[in-house]
Amino acid sequence: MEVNPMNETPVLEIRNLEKYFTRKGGFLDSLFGSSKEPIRAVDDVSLALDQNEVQGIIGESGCGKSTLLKTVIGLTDPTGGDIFYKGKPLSEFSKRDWKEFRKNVQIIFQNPFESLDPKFTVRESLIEPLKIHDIEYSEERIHDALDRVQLNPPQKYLDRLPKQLSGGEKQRVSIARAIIVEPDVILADEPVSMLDVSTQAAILRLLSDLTEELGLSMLYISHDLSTVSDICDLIHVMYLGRVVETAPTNQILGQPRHPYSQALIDAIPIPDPFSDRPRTALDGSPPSPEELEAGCRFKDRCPERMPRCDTAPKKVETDPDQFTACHLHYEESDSRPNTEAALQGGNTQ
Amino acid sequence: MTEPLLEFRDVTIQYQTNRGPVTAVSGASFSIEPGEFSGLVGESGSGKSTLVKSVIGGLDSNGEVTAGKILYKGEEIQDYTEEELNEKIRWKEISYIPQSSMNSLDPLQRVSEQAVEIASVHSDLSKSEALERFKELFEIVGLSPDRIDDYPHQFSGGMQQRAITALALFLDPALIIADEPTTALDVIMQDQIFKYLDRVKANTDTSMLLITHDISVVFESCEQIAVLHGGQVCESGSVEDIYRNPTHPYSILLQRAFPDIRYPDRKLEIIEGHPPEQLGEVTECSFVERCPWAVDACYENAPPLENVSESEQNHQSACFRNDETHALKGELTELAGLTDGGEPNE
Amino acid sequence: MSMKRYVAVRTIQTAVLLMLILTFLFMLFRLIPGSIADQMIFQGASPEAVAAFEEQWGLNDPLHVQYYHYLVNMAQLDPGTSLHYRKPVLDYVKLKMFNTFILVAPGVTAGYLLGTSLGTIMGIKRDSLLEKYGIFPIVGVGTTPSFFLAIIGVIIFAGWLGLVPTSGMITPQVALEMGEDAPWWKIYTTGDFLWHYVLPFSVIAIKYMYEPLLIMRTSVVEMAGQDFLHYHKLTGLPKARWIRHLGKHAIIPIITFYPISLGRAISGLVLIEIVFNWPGIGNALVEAVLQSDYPVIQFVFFLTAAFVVVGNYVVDIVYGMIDPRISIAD
Repeated sequence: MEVNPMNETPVLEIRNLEKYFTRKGGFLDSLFGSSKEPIRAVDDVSLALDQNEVQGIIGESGCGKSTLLKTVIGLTDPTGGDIFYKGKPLSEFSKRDWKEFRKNVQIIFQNPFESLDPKFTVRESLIEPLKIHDIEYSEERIHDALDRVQLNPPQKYLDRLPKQLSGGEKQRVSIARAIIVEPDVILADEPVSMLDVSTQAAILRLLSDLTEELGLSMLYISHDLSTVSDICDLIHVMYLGRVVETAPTNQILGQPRHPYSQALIDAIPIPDPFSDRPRTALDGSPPSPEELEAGCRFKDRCPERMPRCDTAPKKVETDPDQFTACHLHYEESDSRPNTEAALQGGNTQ
Repeated sequence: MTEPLLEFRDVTIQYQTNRGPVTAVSGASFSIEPGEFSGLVGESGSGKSTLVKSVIGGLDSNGEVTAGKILYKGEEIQDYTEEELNEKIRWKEISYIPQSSMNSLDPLQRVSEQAVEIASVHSDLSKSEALERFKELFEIVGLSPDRIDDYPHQFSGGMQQRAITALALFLDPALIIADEPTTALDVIMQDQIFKYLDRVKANTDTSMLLITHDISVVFESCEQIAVLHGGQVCESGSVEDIYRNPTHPYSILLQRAFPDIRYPDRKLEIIEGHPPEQLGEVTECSFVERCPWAVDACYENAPPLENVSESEQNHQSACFRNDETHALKGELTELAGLTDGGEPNE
Repeated sequence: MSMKRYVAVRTIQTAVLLMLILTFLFMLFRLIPGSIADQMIFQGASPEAVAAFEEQWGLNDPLHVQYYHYLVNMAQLDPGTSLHYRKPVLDYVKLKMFNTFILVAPGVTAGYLLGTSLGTIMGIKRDSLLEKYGIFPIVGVGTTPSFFLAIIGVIIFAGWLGLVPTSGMITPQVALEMGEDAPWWKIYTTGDFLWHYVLPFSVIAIKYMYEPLLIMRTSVVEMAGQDFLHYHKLTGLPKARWIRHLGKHAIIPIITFYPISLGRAISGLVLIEIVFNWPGIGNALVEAVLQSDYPVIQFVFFLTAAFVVVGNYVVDIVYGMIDPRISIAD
């Protein structure tokens, strides 16, 4: 496994997580016995998030990052593998554990325009999570939360409704709402993708500072590699349900080893009319997760495709701390593709 | 110099609301030359969409050009009726790629039916000629020509975007207005779309007006740029000039707010606040509340667009302190504690 | 999924549903307290006569055999014999059904046509005087119970103004003049029938324009704001063409409602038939219930349910033809 076994237990650990959706055919399908392949939204994903660590999960729409998030917070049950919170698997959670978990793991959503109740003032939005988690309400606590997200002075904002706030201010309120219950882990689902560039950097810096000050861990989910460097320590690049590469942020931006990571980085426009960046070499869009073939999932779009790609590549350490699942980076002889495929479960179809 | 293809002259656009008129665009001027790709950049609330919609009669029913002129090939079009727009402008001369391309194709029509209908209204093409032409365009935008008879819901988001682009190119317009054509797409898909637009640029003499919040896209794909803030044009000129020598404080800050993947450690600039909503007449610089260098004069009048230097053709900036910019820029670097490795050397 | 497959699926589903209804009715009439024979033959009959009756009608057979016979009979459109009229149920019901149909179908259809057109105009001309104030009388009429509307109609047009007759489908003298041997359809071609027809028809049309009008008005307003219609406009389509596209989208909910309204109206306008003394299926059902004429009740129940089911089936097929998103998966 690519995650180093640490001495202390990770705050949040995902081990070989799988989420397959079986598609229900209609009445007639069951009558005619046409069975359908499951959709492998998340396939064998592992990661370990230590205290005060920020990891990014990067991928295009449809790569499974949202499903991963939903599974992590227990909105849907995984079909394989498990998730551990402070060493305890979610599958063995009691009701009380869940309550604890829901308080300690907070989410910040993509769209601040929808995640705040339009009829709640800022104060009410902040009181709500306290009520839910039976935390004593104090004006001081609310002021402190607003202060931390740099909505100053707090009095100015307390009685405003979401429609009286700008996009960036709304997202700050969402963040305040997440940190007011003093969680250990923040799951941020594309927190800046709806914001203007001028505010994006501010929100990212705020999140980064907060994790530092409060000792939080964070999973940061995004489709955009250009904004992760400010905030993430480690990046996982996801493609069609699998993590194809994991590496420290600057390492992956500087020397991506997986052709897909390379393509993601190469496609980012550069704010410089003199740069002669070539346009992407990739054609088309990712295949539908319903019709996956065996082997590497990126093979049909990969400029480096080889015959070997028909077997699933295993993840190897290509550089210190950098793990890549691509046949380019290891010799056939040191791999045991058959066992590997069998171990990964379901890759052989 | 030739006559501009499209020219905005001191255009002011207002929306009537129950709180009074809201000025979305005030005194905006800039022009697009034939065959040129031009980018209009601004944050949400800058009025960029409003400005371009006014060209093709796409404003909401409470919006109206209240002052200034929009000239298309020298003719005033700002007061055209629906009928005149249909007869003379829409798709005959100017086509449009909407922001919400995912919802813009009629779900009850095959894409080819929609193309044939547009052709029957605006051209003399027969049905089979129209289909032939549409197939070619599908090829150009990277869609398989045998899918022209599909319904929109059979396409993915990126494919719908391409089909919309094919429809925009369909009747060889003189100008394409593209309103945030790739905002909803992933980076790879966005780059693919621009790859096709590059091809259009190389092979036709179509002009394009690209509206976006993403300055990098404009720097890469356009020759000219206009930066819009709070309904006012702050700065306009060639992308090279604005890149090398941004003069308006907003362009300077905006450029520094953009991440550059080549320099992941560079600290990004933050522009506090947001463009104001302007009720009634606008009599000040719309950037004044956010500007680090604002002086009293900025509150009293809206600064006019003026040439920045004699050496740079068409490079204009609307700031009372244009002359002091270079000194101020140095101050900014110090203020923000910028430790960036300098401008990229190419 | 292709269109063919879609139709096949819906056809099988509909057939299954009709079977379930038949089965339900079969059970229902066997759950009614008392033996069927008791209800069917005259009181005071000897036990032998009852036994003979049961024998004759197969009432002693095991339930599944009875069920089988029942299904076979229904499949052959033979719902039995009316106890009261002593003639085949089908013959009796057929004519009543036709009387209802000839009144309700054109009435509801006219209401829908009128309501849809008016709704479209109101939707397009939003904030006009017509839209603002025209809506009040329509809501008023639409929310009044139909029998009450019928009575008001009778009082005004038949009573005060004396323009039309108060009730019946035809004046008895005219029926007599035609003679007993006249073909059954003859009366529908007479002016006298039309004279009786006008008022109930109008009441139904006015009552049924309310729903489609409101739905269409909202639907038009909602659709006009959709991105693809905005795009249609910006591609420079002439106004008339644009309205045609708008209408095509806006009318979809109306198409869903129409067959359902029709199905419901055919079985549900009992009170209107009673007010106008119209010899339709509603009147017949009331009569049959009063006389415990079970074969008639059972068959009318079945027809009523079948109308709604078949109505829904037609909706789905039409829907599939109009909107490819329903029938053609990606």
